Amino acid sequence: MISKLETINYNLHYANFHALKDINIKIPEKKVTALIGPSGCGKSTFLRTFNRMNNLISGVRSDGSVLIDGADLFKIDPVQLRQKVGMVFQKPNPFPKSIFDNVAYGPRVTGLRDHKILEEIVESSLRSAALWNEVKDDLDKSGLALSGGQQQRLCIARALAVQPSVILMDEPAASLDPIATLKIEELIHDLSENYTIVIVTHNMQQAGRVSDYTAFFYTDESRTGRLVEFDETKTIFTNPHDKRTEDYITGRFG
Amino acid sequence: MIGENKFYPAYNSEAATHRNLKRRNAYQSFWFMLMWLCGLVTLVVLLLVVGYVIIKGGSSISWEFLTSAPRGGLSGDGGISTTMGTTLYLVLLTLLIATPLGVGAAIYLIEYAGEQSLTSPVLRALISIANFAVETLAGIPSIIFGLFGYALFVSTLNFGWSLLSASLAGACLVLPTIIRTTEEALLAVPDDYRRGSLALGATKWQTLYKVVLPAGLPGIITGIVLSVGRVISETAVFFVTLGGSHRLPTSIMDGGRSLALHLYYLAMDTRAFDKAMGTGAVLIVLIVLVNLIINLISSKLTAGVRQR
Repeated sequence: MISKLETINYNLHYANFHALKDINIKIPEKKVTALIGPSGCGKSTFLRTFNRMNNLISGVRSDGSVLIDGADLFKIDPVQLRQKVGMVFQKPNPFPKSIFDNVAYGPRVTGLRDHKILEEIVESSLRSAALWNEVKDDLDKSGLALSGGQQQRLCIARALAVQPSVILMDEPAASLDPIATLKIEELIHDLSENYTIVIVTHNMQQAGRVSDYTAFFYTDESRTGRLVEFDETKTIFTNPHDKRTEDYITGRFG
Repeated sequence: MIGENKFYPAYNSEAATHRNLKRRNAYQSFWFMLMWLCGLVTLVVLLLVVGYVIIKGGSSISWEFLTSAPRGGLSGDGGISTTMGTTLYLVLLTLLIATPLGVGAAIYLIEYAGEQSLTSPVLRALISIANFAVETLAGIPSIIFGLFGYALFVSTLNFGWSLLSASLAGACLVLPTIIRTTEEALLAVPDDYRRGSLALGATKWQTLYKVVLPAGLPGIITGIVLSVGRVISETAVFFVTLGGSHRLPTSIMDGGRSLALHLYYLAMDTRAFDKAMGTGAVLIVLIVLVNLIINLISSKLTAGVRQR
């Protein structure tokens, strides 16, 4: 197993609040890794570590190492890092621009102007996000005019267009109906052939369906998040080592 | 019925409840009527003012009135063509100065000041002073801006009574408006857009000019158009900075008189009350047009929001 992302004794503080303590994890390449755990256990914060979006929040400090492909992640310029590590948010957030301009946004900010190449990137990204057939005749239509599930797939296409190797997903189906959710889950499965995917989810069944590996985060009364257990998803769901994991999975608390 | 609910004690007979309801409905009708009257009175007063000026002034408006220059002097003879030209110059020059300054300041205050003030307490103090100043300036009477403009631009910098002095003073007057409306427009842009753009590897500047500014543009334009109306209708500031020449200025160092200023001179220094009314009617039509443009833009803005 090759690890794409790795943290060693990673700690994170919001001002005086110790949000994550001593996280050690090796996230494998081209697999889907689910981060699960009760609300407030720091899993979304942990996810944002990998594209340094926590930098946008005031008063955040962290220590320990975070590696991507074995290299120190904090030594990479955040703008450059985010081209390697894409992100899909909980609420679909297409820009108030056309579908084409939404997908072409990432390549354009890096300086790509050639319209022919942009067209190719837009088409292949929309195909990979399983949206091409639905929108190929409406590329000039506003991204905001799509349904919620389509908007979320547009956001995935937009992230793919930058050609990242990692995609972070923060509860990507939380605001979608069950049918749209299913489409996103199938998509995640297909994408894991080529991308390393880390997904935060509150939905146990979803974690079981889409992920190869699962990390269970938990927090005690101090509200400091810790990584309790990390293993193959089927081990976590059928034969967890830690009592707390078992209780959470079976719905005895959380 | 309340009395039949076994969980609550019966505290009112059905008849009493009925009487009570009638009384509450009567109260409601009374207050609605009162507010309807208030609305009606406001509308009637507004229509009276506008109608009076337009009817009184309409008779003196003619093609000749609009296209000929005022003759000057105490008679008030002539038209208003040069004052319309001066107004146009004044609006353009004022906005040319105020728009980049105001929009730039608002962008800094909303998009950059927050994160920069985290690192430096001195900067944090300066920023809160700037915000306080903007709020205070918005409420200062315009003649104060006139006096300031006179002291600084007309006299100390020796620009004289000129378009330049008047535009600089006018820019001070409308800066708070432009800053505030731009700030509000930027605050209305969802943070999701900013995060989405940054997560795609855009720099902060790219995020700003490719996503945030286009999304906030209708609001920013509303502020600018609002300022146009403000400059068209302003008298006090220009009374002490623009001079009173009735000729069309040929350079920015020339003085002149705007429509509103001309109206003031006509009403105070001449007996040409009909011409004053005519000028007033033209001013009102202009202001109505500016307001229509604002409504058009803001309805476009809300249409965009609704789609989200």
